[in-house]
Amino acid sequence: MAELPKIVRQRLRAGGGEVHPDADLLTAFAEKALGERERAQVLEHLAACAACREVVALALPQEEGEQARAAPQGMRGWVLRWQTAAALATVAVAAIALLTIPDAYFRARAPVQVAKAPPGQSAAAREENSAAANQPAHSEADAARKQAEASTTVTRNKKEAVVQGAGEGGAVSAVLADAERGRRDESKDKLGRVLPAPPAKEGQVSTFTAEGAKQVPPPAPPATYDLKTAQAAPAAPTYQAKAQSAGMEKKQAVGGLVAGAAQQQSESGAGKGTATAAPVAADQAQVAGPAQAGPAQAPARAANETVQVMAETVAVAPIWRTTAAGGLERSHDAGRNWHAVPVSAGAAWNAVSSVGEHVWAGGHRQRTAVLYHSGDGGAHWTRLEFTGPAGAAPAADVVALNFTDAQHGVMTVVAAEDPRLRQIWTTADGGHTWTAPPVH
Amino acid sequence: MPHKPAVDLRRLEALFQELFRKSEGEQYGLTAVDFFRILAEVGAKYLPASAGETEARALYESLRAEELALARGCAAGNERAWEVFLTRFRAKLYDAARAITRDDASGRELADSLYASLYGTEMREGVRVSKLTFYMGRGSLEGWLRTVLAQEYVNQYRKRRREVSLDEHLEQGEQFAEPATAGGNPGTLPADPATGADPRLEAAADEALASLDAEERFILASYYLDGRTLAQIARTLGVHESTISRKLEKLAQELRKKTLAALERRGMSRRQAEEALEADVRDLSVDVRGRLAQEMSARPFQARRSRE
Repeated sequence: MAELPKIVRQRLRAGGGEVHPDADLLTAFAEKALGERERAQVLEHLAACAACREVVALALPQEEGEQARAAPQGMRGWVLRWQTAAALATVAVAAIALLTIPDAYFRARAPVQVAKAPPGQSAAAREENSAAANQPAHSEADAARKQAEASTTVTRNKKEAVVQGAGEGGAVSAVLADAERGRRDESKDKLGRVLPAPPAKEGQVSTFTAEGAKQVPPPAPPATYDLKTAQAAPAAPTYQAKAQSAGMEKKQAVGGLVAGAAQQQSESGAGKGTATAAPVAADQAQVAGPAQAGPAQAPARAANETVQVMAETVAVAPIWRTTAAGGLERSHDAGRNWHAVPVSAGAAWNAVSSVGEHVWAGGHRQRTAVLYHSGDGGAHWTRLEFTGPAGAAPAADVVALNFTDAQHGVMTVVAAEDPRLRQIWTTADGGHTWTAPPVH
Repeated sequence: MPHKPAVDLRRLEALFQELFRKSEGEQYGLTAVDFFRILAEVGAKYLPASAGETEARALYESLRAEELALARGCAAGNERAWEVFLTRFRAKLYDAARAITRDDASGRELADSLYASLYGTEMREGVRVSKLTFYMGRGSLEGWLRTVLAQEYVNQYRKRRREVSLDEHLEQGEQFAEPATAGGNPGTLPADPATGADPRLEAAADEALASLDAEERFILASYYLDGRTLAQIARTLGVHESTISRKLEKLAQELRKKTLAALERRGMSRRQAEEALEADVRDLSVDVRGRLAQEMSARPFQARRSRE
């Protein structure tokens, strides 16, 4: 590029008034939303004002390429290739399994999880499933997704939260998106403490899908999983899980801000609803049991039930975490998908702990420690006006939190008088009063 | 300064009604009257006194009505508005802050400080004032948040710079900063910098620059003074970077020619004019005050081109 004479540079720098365009005008300028008159005025100012040029440049949204550069390139490429291979292998194995696995296996499992439906309903369901299976799919992944959406059934017991259907994770793209989201989220989780112990994300995708397809019993679940309880619960309500959750996941995949907000609203509403829902009548609930199905529907039935079995393998309690941005998130599917949970405006969350339906979230609001509690799995929150140990300095922030049951917990707080000073407090009444543990 | 636009806003009532419907302001506790008042405020701020109905209509139709209602709902302390705001923008706010500061801790600190002002920590006459009151819906709310973050960052930097002692400046050798990378604060630069440069040279350079339009001067300043890349300038203006590259080449040549011609018109021979342009103003005198004034501008943001 040709050089400018120094005197020209110097004079170019001169000028610029004291009155700067406001943030609205600068934003509209950057977004090309100004009319000619205003654009000319803003450009005239920008040409002479280094500070405003700097503001406009800093406020430009990050390009996708720039965001991608944040991740180590080599690792990222390797993981993506690995995930792609795993996802493709999963789809292939699932497709083979759907065609080859004998019905006997499903009959053995079906009574545990699948409620029988009247013939009319089952026929309709089969028809729908067959139609889905027979439709010319654009890809194997598409076909898998359609089958899964058509027939995913989920069982949950009263204590456990909603199980997301496997249908939402059927497509290769969805798997990749989930894995990608998961990795991003993982990297954001600054404490890593509230993440459960599901298998490593890549491994999780592979193990879950491959084993589901092969119809071998699922691996021993992590401690937070309650698969046995869920399976053994005789009165566990069953319902068709082609639910709002699947739809919500799609909205999230689209990635719209509005969709995200709507989804969160739906999510909290859905969670509340399912917690108290009576078992759905069988004629509204389930796909047909094997006994009612004719031989011609065997592949579709196998597909339905395979998906159901796959869904069982991820039947987990909700897990919680905080994000680097100070948000609070919950996952109903072992950490594959996370949803923001609004608790209280103005607070930033650093720590979360859950025991069953009890959840505690700790953080700060305007340099004051705050602690919130939910007794219904995060649907409603109450601020705990907690009392610290006698003589302890006021707390400015909660940085760690761990409850072992509904009453007993440990909390690490930052002292307001000195941010470097950490104090460990314990509670025996659910977080209302805290004491300093004795020093030995 | 806000003024009353000449256009009669009552003639836009149907449009206002439509905007209110689109804004879904009711869910954020806004009534139609509240919203109309906000729209009138927007008109008073951005419509010139001479604006006609067409211009007013264009302005209002370009507004982000839904985000405007959301922001004002938050400013009024509406709980539902805050829930939506947090869900939609909180993570983006922190991401944007980190992108601006390029550092996690500083990013969080920056976002926290803005977040507090959005929430409204400042009290005026016993009323909490939220920064969101100043959002007018001209651009997206997300873009506005990024811009406000960027302004806050630049302001913080400037404040910090004032706290740095002159000794530190001298130790860093900044008094001898090379002008091309020093940026500059136009508002504080003396009208007649005591560089000892020939006044004819300045007048000629000014004349040459005055012949360019604002966009051309913006491109020149972004590239030569701020150290922006072609791609960054192109993104800002919404054109391809090859367009910027071609323009820069052309402008640099054009400026040189015009300055030489202006110098010749001021009595210099061609050779004298060329020699004058080659002279380095730094060699003529060392003006510490001028240098310090210049480096108050956005120095940390400089030279990104060279880093990239």
